Amino acid sequence: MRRARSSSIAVLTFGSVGVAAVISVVWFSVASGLSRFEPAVQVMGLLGGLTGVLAERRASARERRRVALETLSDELGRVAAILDDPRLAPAHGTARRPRVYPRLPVSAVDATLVSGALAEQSDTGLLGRLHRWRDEANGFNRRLELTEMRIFTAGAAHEVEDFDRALHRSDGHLDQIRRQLLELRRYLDETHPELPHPDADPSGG
Amino acid sequence: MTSQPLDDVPEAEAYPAGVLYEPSPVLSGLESVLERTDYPWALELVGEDQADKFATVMSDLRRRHSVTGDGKRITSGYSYMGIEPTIAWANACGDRLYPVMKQSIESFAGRWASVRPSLGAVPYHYVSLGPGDGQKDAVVLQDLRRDNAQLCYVPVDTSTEMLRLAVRDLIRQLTLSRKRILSLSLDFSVRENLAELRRLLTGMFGDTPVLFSLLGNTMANVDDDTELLGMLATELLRPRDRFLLEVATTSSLDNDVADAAATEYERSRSFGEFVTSAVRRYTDLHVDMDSVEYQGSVERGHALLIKIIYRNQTGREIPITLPDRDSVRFRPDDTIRLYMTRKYAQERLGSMLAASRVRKVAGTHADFTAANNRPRFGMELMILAAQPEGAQPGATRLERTLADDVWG
Repeated sequence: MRRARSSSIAVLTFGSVGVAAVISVVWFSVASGLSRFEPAVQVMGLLGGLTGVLAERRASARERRRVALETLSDELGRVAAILDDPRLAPAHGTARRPRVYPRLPVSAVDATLVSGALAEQSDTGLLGRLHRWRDEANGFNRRLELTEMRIFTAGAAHEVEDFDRALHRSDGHLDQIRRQLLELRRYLDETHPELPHPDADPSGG
Repeated sequence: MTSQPLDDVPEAEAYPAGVLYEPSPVLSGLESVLERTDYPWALELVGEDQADKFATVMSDLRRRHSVTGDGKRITSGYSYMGIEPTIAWANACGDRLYPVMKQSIESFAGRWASVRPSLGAVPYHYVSLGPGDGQKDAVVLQDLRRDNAQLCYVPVDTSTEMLRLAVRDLIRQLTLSRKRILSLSLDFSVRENLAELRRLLTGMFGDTPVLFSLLGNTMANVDDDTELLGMLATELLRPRDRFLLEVATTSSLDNDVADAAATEYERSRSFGEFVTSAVRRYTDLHVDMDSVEYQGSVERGHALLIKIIYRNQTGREIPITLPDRDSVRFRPDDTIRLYMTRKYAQERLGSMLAASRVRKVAGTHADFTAANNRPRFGMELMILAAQPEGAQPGATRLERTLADDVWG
């Protein structure tokens, strides 16, 4: 409904400019002498105004898009570093203590999705991946919260090893999140090679 | 030896068709001799290839260098082989400074009495896996005999010396006929051996139910404790059979409590003599008691793990000669794990039993350290039964922890 209204406004605007241009051309052809300057100036003014607005819009959208992609790339680099954080590594030895786990940041992904900076036809693939990544990261963070609440507030410190084992089990959530991050990183690098590549290795390995 | 119990066995099962059975003069002669003599003969059936066992001990002592006690080791079962370790064990059982064992033995009769009613008046035969010095088995046998005049006692252990220790006093104490006692020298941590044991018991006892026992926290001495219990349940338990299990417990799991548990063993000089006796027997190592370390830790959130290790603290390499004359280099800081035991978290016993596919029929718990400022250790005595076939999915569900549910 909103899209239909936006289209109508665009049709009305460009229709009015088009009709004005046609009238100015007819006026230019039937007029003679100095009176021909007026329709000529109007046509030039209309063309200059239209191209100026469109160019500024385009430049602004490109800037928003560049900032969004760079922030996104930076955030994915930070996620990779967090997945390598010692607090998310398997606890070695038997002296395992309760710990507060670091969370995966998703603010840049959230901002990118709501800003509309990725509105080009070619962005469809990236948008779909970002939505899936956001859901995975939020689910992972939620599980970390449940783990901490259980261990710290329910007096279940003896379950630290159980949670550590469950978190680090083969093909568990941690492995899945690493895989998804690696896939998202690769896709971003392939579609946007101009982005700076972070030093951190998202595979965690 | 087997004439009386075989009366209960369906003929087709005990004597397969097509095979002609003649009474053996050895067995029938033995029975009459044992009936008449006062000489302390004891029947023993040896199922172990001692050479294999010997090779395993040698192989365990050739393991890799480890500073944490995870390399060279004396595996459970072999700690008791030979007369020296057996005597050392018997001494440790009576040591007042080794209160866990002493309290466990002294309180056993009362704890047995509280779980006994769950067995009902069914006539059981009794098979004791790792009978120790036989004191607890004497309590069980005395009770079971009231409901089964034909009661047979089958102690099973790798060590023939331990078997002898177990049955020697029992015969005298309980006036139990020697022909109703059959000691089996067998390593019950091997699945194939358990299958053979089951066949032997079925041949001897037929459908008469059997009460198996694994007492004195023996389960805690093996690396794969839950797997051992599961294997015993799967291979041995029939629907009417029962399993008497005794394990040491702790009320909390943390490193301070683990250290306290290790200290409990460290206090007893005679226990120290016992754990080092196997090394003295199998190697020419000059054992320095100050090099024996008692380490407590928390294991997989379900138990306190106590490892007793011997560390080379001399700072130089010591060549150790094994009984096969082979030499092993015992490098500085290298270790030999002498003994391993656990104290299980009380609240995790349920999931451990479920993982082993057994269900608890009855149980009783005794705290051995009542002072408020000390960790509470104790013993849990349980009567278990095989998990019915239909209950398997439920058991599998119990194996999952809350952590698995969160991260599943």
